[in-house]
Amino acid sequence: MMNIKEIHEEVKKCMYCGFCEFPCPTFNALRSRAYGPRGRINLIKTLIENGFGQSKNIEINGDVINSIMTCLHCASCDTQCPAGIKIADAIHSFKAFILETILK
Amino acid sequence: MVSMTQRQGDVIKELEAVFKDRLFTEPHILALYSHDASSEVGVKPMAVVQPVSVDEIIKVVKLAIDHGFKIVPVGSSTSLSGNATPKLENTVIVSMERMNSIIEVSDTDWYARVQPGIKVDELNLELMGYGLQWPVDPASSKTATVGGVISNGGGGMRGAKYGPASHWVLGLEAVIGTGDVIRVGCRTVKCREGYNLVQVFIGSEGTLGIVTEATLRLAPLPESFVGVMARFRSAESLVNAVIRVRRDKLWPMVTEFIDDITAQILNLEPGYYLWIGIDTYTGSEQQILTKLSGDISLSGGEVINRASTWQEFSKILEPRRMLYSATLKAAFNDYGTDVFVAFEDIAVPMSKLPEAVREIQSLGKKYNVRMNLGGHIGDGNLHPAVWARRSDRDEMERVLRFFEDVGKLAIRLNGTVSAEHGIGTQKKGLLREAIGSRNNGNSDTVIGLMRNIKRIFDPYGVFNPGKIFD
Repeated sequence: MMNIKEIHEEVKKCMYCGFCEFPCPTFNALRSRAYGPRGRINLIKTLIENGFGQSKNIEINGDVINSIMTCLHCASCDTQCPAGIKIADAIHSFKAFILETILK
Repeated sequence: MVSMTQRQGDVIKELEAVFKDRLFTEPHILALYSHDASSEVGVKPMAVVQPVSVDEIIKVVKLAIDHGFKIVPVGSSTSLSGNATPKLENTVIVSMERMNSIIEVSDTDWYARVQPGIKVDELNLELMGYGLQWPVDPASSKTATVGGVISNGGGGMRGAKYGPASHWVLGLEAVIGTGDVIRVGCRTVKCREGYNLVQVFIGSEGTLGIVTEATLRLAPLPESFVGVMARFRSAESLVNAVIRVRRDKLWPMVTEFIDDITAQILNLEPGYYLWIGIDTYTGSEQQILTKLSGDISLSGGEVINRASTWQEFSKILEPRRMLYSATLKAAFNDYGTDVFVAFEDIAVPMSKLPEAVREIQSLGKKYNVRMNLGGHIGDGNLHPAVWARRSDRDEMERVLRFFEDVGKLAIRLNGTVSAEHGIGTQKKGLLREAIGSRNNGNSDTVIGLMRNIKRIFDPYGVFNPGKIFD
């Protein structure tokens, strides 16, 4: 599992090319950016930069939670990323962080 | 007096009535649509909608006219020139992600009717079953949508033989800025019905309307395929080989290259690498391979790999396909996540290629920028990539000056400042210079015509403001 700093270092590398969306099962089922790897890691990036689960009390709604929590961790996105981001593990680690934050 | 927030609230209510759960206003989700794959900085739009029908698109355009908000139509937002990046807060993003059906494929008439949200590779996978292809293949074909490629005038690796999107669209259906639906073009290759409004739309970067259906011209998949991967000591001899192949009247489908810096990043032996792939018919493979290999050795190159099928060629082409990854790898290695990466996109006439490659390399030295070079050399399309540390103002300044000078070089060599990435927000100045260079320094007349065309299609200024020209 990555810690929040490590997750941030990974997701910050995203260049927004979207190559990761092609094999993503949830993106292909729902055809919505938030339900693909690019959307998920960029949501995570903004949440971390806004202080979610850290110092600030950031409100997020169901759309955001659902998009991150529905990642299947199949890691097919990892095979596509030109920047070599560990997408699946970053999302998986952030899921745990969301649960910790909510259950606090 | 009605406040801004109140007005925005009214718009959201009306959009909700049309789009229901396909309307997004959550700030984190909005941020996902606030920029594209270029370095252009955008703003968060007020809403994102995902239409599933032409009727819904007409409704959102009419709402935009009534309420005065702007629309930026997007596919996968993979633009490298900023044309899918919203610049104004009162923007509604119309995302075509869900309109992704193939409506019809005719394997007799060789056309396909598709919705704009289908990705290029998704379409081509389907067409393979018919022995057909839509031969427009930008490097982003896995994610780029057909609508985006049309609006961007995209090209790609097969462009050397097949040309860009403008060669492969027969007809379009679109919703224009009056809320009217227009259907232009034909289902035949020959089509002379007044002004060619299909071509006006291609490369218009979402400034004239929203493409809702495209009739695409198709080509048969090649019966047979041969290709080589060759190494050269200098860029000059590589370019000479490309010109020699051309003089021999061989017409490759793919002619790609990478420079010595990229080769080093990819752990290849030092040198400049060239890939040439030729579509042909069964029985003629050996003859073509012999001719091709001869051209390469006469130019001082060494053939490293040969392929006698498309599958084999795809395998040996892999390092070229890694150009984007190699650039990112080098950039991240140098500067970590504080990195700024940009990809140029010029094209020059083939006869000017040796000069262009030489001068781009010396511009790189002049400005002392970190760069690599590769591209679709078979149609004169070069993609120098540069990277810098974002927080280093001096280095950023040098990178921007390098970019500007590469554009000016293309103009001086009678080339173009944008071959396939478009103008967007990032090349508006260079576009003016390019047009001016062909019109005795006067760019106003031609830009004025473009502006007037925009006014006809989009009289209320709804679509993608601030792109292509001011």
